[in-house]
Amino acid sequence: MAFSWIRSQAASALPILGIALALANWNAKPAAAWAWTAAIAMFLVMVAVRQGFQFAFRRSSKVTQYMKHGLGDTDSDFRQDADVVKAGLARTLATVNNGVVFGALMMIIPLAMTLAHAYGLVDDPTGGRRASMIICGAYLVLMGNAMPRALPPVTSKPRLDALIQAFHRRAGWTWVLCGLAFLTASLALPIKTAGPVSMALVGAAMIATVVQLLRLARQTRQHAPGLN
Amino acid sequence: MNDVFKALSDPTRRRVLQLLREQPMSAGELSDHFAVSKPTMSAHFAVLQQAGLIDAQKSGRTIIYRLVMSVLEEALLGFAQTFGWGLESKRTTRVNQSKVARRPVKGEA
Repeated sequence: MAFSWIRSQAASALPILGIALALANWNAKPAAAWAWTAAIAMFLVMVAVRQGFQFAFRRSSKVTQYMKHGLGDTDSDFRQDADVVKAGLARTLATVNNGVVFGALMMIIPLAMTLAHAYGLVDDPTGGRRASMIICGAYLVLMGNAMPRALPPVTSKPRLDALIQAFHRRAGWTWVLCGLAFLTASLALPIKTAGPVSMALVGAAMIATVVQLLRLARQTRQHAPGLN
Repeated sequence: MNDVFKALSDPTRRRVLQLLREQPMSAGELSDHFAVSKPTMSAHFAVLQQAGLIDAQKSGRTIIYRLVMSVLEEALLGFAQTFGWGLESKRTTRVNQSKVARRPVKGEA
């Protein structure tokens, strides 16, 4: 509960902070006005997307409330459906908030580092890029970590469920290891080398996931031909 | 996270997780692998479910359990298995099991 509250607050505050940082950078380096305009536009898109989803969530909450209470106690199935719809909407909003927080952080840290460099507070001009790469690596680790939990509902075919579960587990490990390697490369290697190395790591993880997916498709056809 | 450590500290629960790593199973199929009473197994399932390591889905009259462990939790499971966590809690589990066995089952009295 506390985590979702913090995430929600961060999702509303970070884009505003980002806009403020972009404006401060514009003031410090007016020559790169197009870059700051693009950054502000990105933050405005984040705010708009989040507000849009929140508006939809509030409206849907009213509908589900009507579904639950407006009809009285006569239809318990309908009340259960309302709960399922509400839980689904809350999950979607949480995903949007996660995306906004990570997207905003990936832009805010380089903006803050650039501003600090412009005012002579930081010596390393590549600090911003390195910081955004570290956040990107952390995001890959978190995404991979959560992957084995995101399973579809159980089917009537236990073998198929086992195959899907194994795929999610392997893909999760692949992305966690890729994220950790990405983080290490961003921290330890010179920035010129870290860029291509991290891209190669992401490419390798993508290829590994596609291969695992193809294997899953082949095994699914073998074990459950009636499903296709 | 405390619930996860508590769940992983027991060897029976770790074995349940290892079995579920292979494929989702019903409560009966899982219980067949252990020489403990059904109420004890239900208690283990409840602890695992509370820790968010397994997920229960009703399919007709049976409950299907499946693994919903994150990569970090799976790494912790491997670590616990390798270094034999919960040797102390094994004794506690045995005491709990005997308590459960002593308790009269509904309908039998």
